[in-house]
Amino acid sequence: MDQSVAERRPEPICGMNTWMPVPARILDVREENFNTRTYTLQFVDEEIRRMYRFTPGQFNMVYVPGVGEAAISISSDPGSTETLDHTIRLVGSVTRAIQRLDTPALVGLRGPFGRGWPLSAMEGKDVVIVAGGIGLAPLRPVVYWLLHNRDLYRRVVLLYGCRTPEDRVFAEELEAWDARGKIHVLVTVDNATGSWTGPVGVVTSLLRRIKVNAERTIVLVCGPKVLNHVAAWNFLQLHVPPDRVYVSLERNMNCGFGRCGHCQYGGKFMCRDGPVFRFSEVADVFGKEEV
Amino acid sequence: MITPTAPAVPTAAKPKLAVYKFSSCDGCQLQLLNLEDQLLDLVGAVEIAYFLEARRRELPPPYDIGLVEGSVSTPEEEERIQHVRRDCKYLVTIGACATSGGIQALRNWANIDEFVGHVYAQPEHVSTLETATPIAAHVFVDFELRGCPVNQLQVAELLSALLVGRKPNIPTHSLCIECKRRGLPCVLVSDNQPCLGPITQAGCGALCPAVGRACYGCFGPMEQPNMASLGSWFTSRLGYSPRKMKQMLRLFNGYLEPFKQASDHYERLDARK
Amino acid sequence: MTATVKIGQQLYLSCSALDDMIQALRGLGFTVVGPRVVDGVISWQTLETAADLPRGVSDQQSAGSYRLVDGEPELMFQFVVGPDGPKRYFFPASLRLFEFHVSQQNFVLDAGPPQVPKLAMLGVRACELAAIAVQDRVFGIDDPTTFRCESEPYYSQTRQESLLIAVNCTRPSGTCFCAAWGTGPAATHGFDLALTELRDGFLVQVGSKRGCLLLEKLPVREPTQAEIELAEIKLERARERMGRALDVRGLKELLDQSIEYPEWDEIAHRCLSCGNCTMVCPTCFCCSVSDTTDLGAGSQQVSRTRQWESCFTHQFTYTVSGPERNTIRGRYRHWLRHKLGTWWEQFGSSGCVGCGRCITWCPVGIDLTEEVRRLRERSQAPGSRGPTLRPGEVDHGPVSR
Repeated sequence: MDQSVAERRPEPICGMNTWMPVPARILDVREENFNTRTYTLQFVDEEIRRMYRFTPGQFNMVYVPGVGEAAISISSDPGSTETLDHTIRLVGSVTRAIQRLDTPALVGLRGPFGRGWPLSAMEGKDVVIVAGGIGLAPLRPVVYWLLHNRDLYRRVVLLYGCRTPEDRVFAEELEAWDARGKIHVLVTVDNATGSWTGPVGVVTSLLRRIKVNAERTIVLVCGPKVLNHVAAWNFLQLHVPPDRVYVSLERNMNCGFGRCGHCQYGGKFMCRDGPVFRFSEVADVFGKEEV
Repeated sequence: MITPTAPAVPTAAKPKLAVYKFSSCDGCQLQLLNLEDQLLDLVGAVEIAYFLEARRRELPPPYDIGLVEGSVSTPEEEERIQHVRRDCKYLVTIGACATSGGIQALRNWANIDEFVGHVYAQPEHVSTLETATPIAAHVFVDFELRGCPVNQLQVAELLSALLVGRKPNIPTHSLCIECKRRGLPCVLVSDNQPCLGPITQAGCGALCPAVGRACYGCFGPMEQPNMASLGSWFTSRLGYSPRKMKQMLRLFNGYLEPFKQASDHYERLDARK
Repeated sequence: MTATVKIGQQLYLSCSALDDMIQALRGLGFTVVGPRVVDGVISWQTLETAADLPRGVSDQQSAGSYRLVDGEPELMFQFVVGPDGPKRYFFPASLRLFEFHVSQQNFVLDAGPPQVPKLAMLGVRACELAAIAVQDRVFGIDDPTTFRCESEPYYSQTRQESLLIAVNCTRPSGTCFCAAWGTGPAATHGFDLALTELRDGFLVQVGSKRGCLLLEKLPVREPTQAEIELAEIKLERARERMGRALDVRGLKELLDQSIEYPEWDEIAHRCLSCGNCTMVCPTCFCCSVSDTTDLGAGSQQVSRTRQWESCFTHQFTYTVSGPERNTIRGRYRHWLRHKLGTWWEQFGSSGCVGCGRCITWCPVGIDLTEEVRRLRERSQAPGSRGPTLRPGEVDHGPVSR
């Protein structure tokens, strides 16, 4: 996939009607940890399979007939859209319903929606990726993108934190990415269980282990609310300018394209203007409760 | 308030349904039987394992879904509800009696012996508790359906949702939203009627406003109701006395917070006068 | 019958010819919808004849109170907006989108999408025209960047099929403040025809080609200079007699900086979070689409329904970690800041058109204009702070609330 395609907002797909999801088949299910699985999906319709494009950081509304939809980011390689991955943690009724399904069941998809990570703004920069828990899922397509286009970027560091070593998602890939030497991967856990000998502590504690050149660094953050806040603040304190700190946030979503009102965050529609925001865009409401 | 979450109803065999009666008028169970069009589907979708009002046959526990009607008012019920909880994976209280204690909970503010003495010729044969209490005061309840009686569409929605694993579409917001969606004129604003809609949970389909009457709160308090604000509007603008306020709040769900707290407040105000 | 009618032209239509208009519209296949008295309020309903209009009826509106009263017996439009309006027809409160079943390979459509009605709206007020224009932007009706899968087809099609016949307000109510926004009392654009009621007829302004075609079928005549002047005077008087006033200057900035004002706590004591204001607001667009299954077929047979939703409900912002806006303070603040402030950022206009419905239909009479006045006072009070954080001011660590 060439650069321009990744930057342009791809046209979302839907059925005969805006609200009609498109059927996709579950081809594969992989356990990530005790409550998270990665589903590999493929559109039943070959035409849609060919047409479908997404940019890293975008999401689909994943639908289980009769149960409902949930906004779930796409976690697979943006360069190969023959199949799509969704990494899904069991949290509510829709995700529970998805986890009851197995190959070759049908789910529905609408999307891709939203604005993804700033691939072109990252060019020529040091890229620091900060992820917590399942927050790595929407960043995995970025990692693929970086690996495919490694020459366009300077140093790439991935800081990842989760509760225990067993909670790591894409555990094998984390090791493989680091082993290939193109990306520096640092992982920390809250609790060192089993044979873990790596760092222990919150993700931002890994900042001590890297050198951040504020002049040429761009930061991508995705994790639980607290991590988003703390990580963003930390980088700002390291003098990374607010327009080079990007966070992916979360809200209740219903339509996916800024018409239903649910996901408003200050003056932004999370689904249409986000979920990835430049810090400077949301500085007036960032960290505020109930906005 | 019980937050609706997705239940884990097994998908393999037909789930077993049990329906229990505690102190109540049977009206809520009747709503289940009144499902008419959907009753056949219901029998097809679930195994009716225990429902004395509908059929004599009883299947042994455990049951997947238990619907409980009525409040706990006697020593026998106090014990039986523990068994019911043990027998049911997913326990749902249906109706005002089961979720709030119901009309009979009015005795919780009175002397029970006096009541019994007035009503029964031979009060010594009556074995009863001092209070009528909601099921949730005794055991953990997974979900509740409000109303006196429950709305049969909500019963059908709850069961359909449980069967497919959907979060039941049972709103906890104010009745006003339901009323306005129907396009009904607001009886409070346009007619000064003491409508409890703005603090009452939706779900009845705005039955009373549809016939030009004020809502009397049979679905109980909505999520985070602002009792004080509506209360002061009623007393200062519409001229309702504290006693009248107490009576309005204590009709069906008086023993359910925060109706209870508010009605106690108006009782104290009334006594002070 | 007159000769060709041109856009922008003013003509005179007698009172008795209003029924001819309704019948002509019905003849053209329109369902005519307009104000009618239902259970003590003016409600938007289907009209069959001009006799269905609330002739001789007037309204008295104030914060939390609405009454119909007797007006001058021959006048047809002496009231203003009631609790509902055209929104309910373009954007129905509950709309079954479609039904489908799940097959081996596909989701197979069984019913829907819903039939699009052909509506003639008679008696649309200027504020409502403004509100329709707002919702057109919200639903992206003419937005070229809207992809097919992001459109609201029912809204767009119903709007495009519909005819809007406006009525200018010559008698505003106690809660009206359209003059503050410049959205009324006279309709200036966005209508097919706009009527100003005089004593025994209407001065009609033609706003579109379709309006011309309709008027050509009706017994209209050239208005006299006196009639034109009378209409102008009536509208000028109406502008001066608004029941409420709102200083709209710098509102967006005011609300931007108001996040931490203590006024929100005070409003939260009064606000019931019942959602009435959002339900009667002609621009509120929040909705939810949800699935319904029946007991028999389970998840094999599904219908999807779109319903009006309110940002005042707890479930509206529900996420796994609980609702984002968990207090009445947060929800009221969101509503008002959105309506008057962040709406600009999203849709390039205010979300308020000054119809006053939220004031009248609030069960405890919370008055938007009054709340704005209080916020403004706070912003002008010494020591009031702007936003606690701006890009660049980054060394404070995480902001507390």
